[in-house]
Amino acid sequence: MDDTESTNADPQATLLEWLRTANLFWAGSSRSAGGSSSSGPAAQMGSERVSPEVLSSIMRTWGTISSAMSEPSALDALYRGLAIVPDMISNVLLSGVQGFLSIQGQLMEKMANLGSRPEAYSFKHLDQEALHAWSDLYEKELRRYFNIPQLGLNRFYQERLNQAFDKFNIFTVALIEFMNLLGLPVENSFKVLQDQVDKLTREGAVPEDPQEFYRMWIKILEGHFMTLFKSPEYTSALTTTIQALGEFISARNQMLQDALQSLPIPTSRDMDDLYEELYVLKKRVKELEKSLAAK
Amino acid sequence: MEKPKIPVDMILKHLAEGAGQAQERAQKASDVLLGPLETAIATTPYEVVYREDRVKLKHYTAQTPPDDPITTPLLVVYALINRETMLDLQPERSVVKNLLEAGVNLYMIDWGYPSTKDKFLTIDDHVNGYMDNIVDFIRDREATPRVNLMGICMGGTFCVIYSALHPEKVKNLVTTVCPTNFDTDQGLLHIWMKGLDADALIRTFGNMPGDLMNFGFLLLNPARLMIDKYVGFLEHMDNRAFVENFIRMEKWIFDSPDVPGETFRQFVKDCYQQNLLIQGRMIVGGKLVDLGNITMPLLNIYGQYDHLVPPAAADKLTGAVGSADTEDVCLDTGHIGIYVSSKTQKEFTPKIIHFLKSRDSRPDDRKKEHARGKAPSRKTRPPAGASKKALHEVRR
Repeated sequence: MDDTESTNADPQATLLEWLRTANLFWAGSSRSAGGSSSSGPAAQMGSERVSPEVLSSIMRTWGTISSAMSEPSALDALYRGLAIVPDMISNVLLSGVQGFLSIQGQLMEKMANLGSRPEAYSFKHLDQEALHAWSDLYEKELRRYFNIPQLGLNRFYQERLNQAFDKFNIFTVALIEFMNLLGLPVENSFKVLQDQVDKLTREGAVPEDPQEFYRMWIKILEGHFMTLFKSPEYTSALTTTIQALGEFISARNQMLQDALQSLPIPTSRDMDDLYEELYVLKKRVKELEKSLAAK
Repeated sequence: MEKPKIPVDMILKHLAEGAGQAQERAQKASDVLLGPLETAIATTPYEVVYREDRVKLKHYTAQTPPDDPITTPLLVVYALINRETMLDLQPERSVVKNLLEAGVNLYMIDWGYPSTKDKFLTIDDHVNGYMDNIVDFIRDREATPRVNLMGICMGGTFCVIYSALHPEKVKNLVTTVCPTNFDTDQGLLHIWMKGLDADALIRTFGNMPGDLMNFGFLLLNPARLMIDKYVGFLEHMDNRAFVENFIRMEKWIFDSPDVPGETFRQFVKDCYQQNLLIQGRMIVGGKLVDLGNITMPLLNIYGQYDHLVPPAAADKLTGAVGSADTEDVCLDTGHIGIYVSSKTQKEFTPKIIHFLKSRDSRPDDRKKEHARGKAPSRKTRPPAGASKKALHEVRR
């Protein structure tokens, strides 16, 4: 068979031909399996594992399947099914590429915003878009993969593992944003220090002692931090970060709990139950002791 | 246009001098840091006279018997955050030593280090459990019907609750940097606590981790507490006394036990978020904490520059209690400076001693005072324009 023939062949006809051949093969196999069941020691050993009736039944089933598959309507359905595979792959690729381009676009936007920082001693006009860029990217593009429904016996274990990864990523993202926020006062304090030194230079009052510059800077920095800490944006970021940390630790603990359950080690849930019982018992004993002493 | 003047030559001269001094300082500092350092804290001798679970009761005895002792024993209740060793940080600035020298029969609660098994302990367990048992123990041991109570920070809040629930066992109440009114925007802690999800934290951690709280305290003023403080250390690390005191303070600051989960949860929700205590609506152990029951003499001391318990969080107490004999004292210092600053030491302990001594020999006139009705309380404030204390000494 040459290259021209292979490229010009109708794939549906090729598939039909293959299915017919398979049908004939399985039918022949089924007959020979039934006829040679009692001959030779090897066959006898095999027949100890799989009885001839079972083997024959399997062969017949395969034969039926391949015969059914060779019907034009079934073949057409199968062919259409196969035909959509490239579409599925291209859809997945397209989605991935779109996500990547979106990430790129947002990163470019963030880079463009690098120069536009909040004013000194004022954190009222924080660029929320820039601040939340990372969490938005994670929420929109990546997180959904960790929330694909799990199936089967291991579904709960797999789900908890996915949750631990998801919560870890959310915490990391929240921490990055929080640290970014904490960096703003440092950035602004240098800017203000520079303005002050400019002013002192114009007035001819630049301090001779280099340590004076440090003292000026630390005072400016303190002022910036105080302003930031009172802003609702900071309180919100702090709350989000602490919450994300908590959720990550809970998810991690649940995952570890699964691992510990398979070992002869008490889990924290077991210990908590025990501690609570001890606490209640001790409290009751102390109350009884007190009431007895009072009598 | 006149050319700006920058004394580059002088700046360079100072830099050169500074580099030389730094080199010399580094040489001396290596001698100091590598040599023997006296950095032990809480060195005043004591005896553990009572134990219950993780909680211990320390009893201090004066080296030389005082001429004019205060007969009623004083029980000091520290907060569950950080440790009571702060009251005895170094011999020359020790509240414990000063109280002993003034003739106080001193007992102090050491709350110990809560572990996971303590996560279910509530405020009720601390106040009506451990504290009440300890007060009963002291009353038996000293054969006295009542004790003097002195509370510090959160320990002060516990003392207020205790005095409201067991007024018959308390002769005089002293509260120091004690938060009782939480509905204020003074101080970042009050702002941050309002949005804190205490339930989620306790669900996650069990107990509130001391390290996490310490990180939060550092974030209250990172410029001073995470940068300037250590720059100051580098500048003085050739000074043995400075290094010893600095390390003592570091030892105390970062010695942070976890706070039992249920206690933390109730403190945040009932106090910081709902401000129930000062309104007389807080329930502890199934009983209403009625501040009107606090009819014993009350001395309330707080710091003008305290950013953890600002004046607005502390100065409402005297107006809310039922006692006719109350006094507010506002000192020119911060949250910790009130106990460790050498300047404040000259005012803080003498004020407490005077308050206790003047009421020690007095017959039991609590009922008479109550019947008389409430007299106007006194307030003592620092002079206007008093200087702010150096923050490197006053972590909080």
